[in-house]
Amino acid sequence: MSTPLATLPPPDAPAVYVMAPEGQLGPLPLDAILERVSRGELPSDAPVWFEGLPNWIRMGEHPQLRERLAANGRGAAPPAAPPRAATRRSDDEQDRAFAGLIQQSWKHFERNLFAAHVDEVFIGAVITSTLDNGYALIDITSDGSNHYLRFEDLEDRSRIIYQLHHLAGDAASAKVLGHIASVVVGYGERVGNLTRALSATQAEYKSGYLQSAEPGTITIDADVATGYIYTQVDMYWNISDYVAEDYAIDYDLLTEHVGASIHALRKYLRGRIG
Amino acid sequence: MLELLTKFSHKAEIRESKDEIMVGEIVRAMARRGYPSIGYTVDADLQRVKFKTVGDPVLAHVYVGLDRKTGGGALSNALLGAKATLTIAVEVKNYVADPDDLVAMYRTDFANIFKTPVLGGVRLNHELNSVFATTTKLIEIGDYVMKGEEGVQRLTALLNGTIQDLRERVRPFKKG
Repeated sequence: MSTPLATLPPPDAPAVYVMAPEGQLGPLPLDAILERVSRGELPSDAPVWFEGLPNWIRMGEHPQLRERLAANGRGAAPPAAPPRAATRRSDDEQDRAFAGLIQQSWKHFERNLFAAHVDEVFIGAVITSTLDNGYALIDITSDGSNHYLRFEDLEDRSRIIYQLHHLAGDAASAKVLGHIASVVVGYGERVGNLTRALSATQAEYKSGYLQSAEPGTITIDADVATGYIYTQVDMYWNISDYVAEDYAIDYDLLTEHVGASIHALRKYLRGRIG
Repeated sequence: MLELLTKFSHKAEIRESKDEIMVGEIVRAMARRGYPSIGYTVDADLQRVKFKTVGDPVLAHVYVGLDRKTGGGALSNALLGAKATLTIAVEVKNYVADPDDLVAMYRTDFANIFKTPVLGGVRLNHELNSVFATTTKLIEIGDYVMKGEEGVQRLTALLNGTIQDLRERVRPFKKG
């Protein structure tokens, strides 16, 4: 059998604590609390405590309080819903609200989309800039995260190869890291002397120990199948230096950087193989 | 570096790379008109690039696909040339989604299921809040690549003219 709950304090005595949505209030007179309930400022099942109660209880759990609430018109029953006519908006208004939501969503979607496909924008910029340096695209492939491009100068047959990897593929990573790309650039020339090519391959065995090449480290290798010898350098380029968020591309700067990389690699290759 | 070199397939002759050469020139021609590439689909025979039509009041995207038909081998290249199907599609996107319009577009989507593209013709298609116009052309790749600046100019004229035609076809569908 449960213990009877303590009798309510006098209605005008500041003796009741109540747990309001904004935090604990009190001690307040019971009348003041009931008035707040009737004004809708407090829920009718708000927890209360006054001297004599072993623990906090909900207002509706105390028989006397329940009667007082019912007398105030704030019993357990929920308030009547407002008339439908007052809340229902017209078809046009609702269509406009929906269209607003969609427009807002497109802005967020476009921002994420830019972060996701800025590497493809960069690929196009690299293709354009390398063509502007006198080369033709002869190969394009991708494994999903790394993109590979190969170009050839159709007159002197020299080749450029790229490996591009965008290190921040989403908007959040890009916010922290920026749109940094790992870029490997290689420059190759065809050599008639296979012995020389194989000798370059042997040199590469040494550079093969470089698990993670540092920027500026130029390595050399031979592609025996095609008779080309390549020099290669690892770099990190900030895509944002070339591609703005409004898709404006600084082709002049990229063409200059591509040209300078080709120049350095060509000089190194010719210095090595004479 | 050895790993990087193995990413490329060995091609004995430059004719085997004519598709890629043309794709490179397409990317540059589109870049020159202010349309950066935003997507690539590449395999042995089909290359497709998606471009963003920055600043264009009508178009949202242009798609260019190159599907090599002949000329991969020395004999077919000598006999038939390097023929390919060039597919160009433009997309209008209406960002404001009016439910009444979406219902109307759904009916068009269903009707378009049974349509097939016709070479040289233009097909209009609705897909949700996008409208596409697509055309295909059978081209000789050799007319456009390895022809120096003359080939580049010819390719640029082909792309610009086709995109302009397609834009006029979809212009009535652009809202706002």
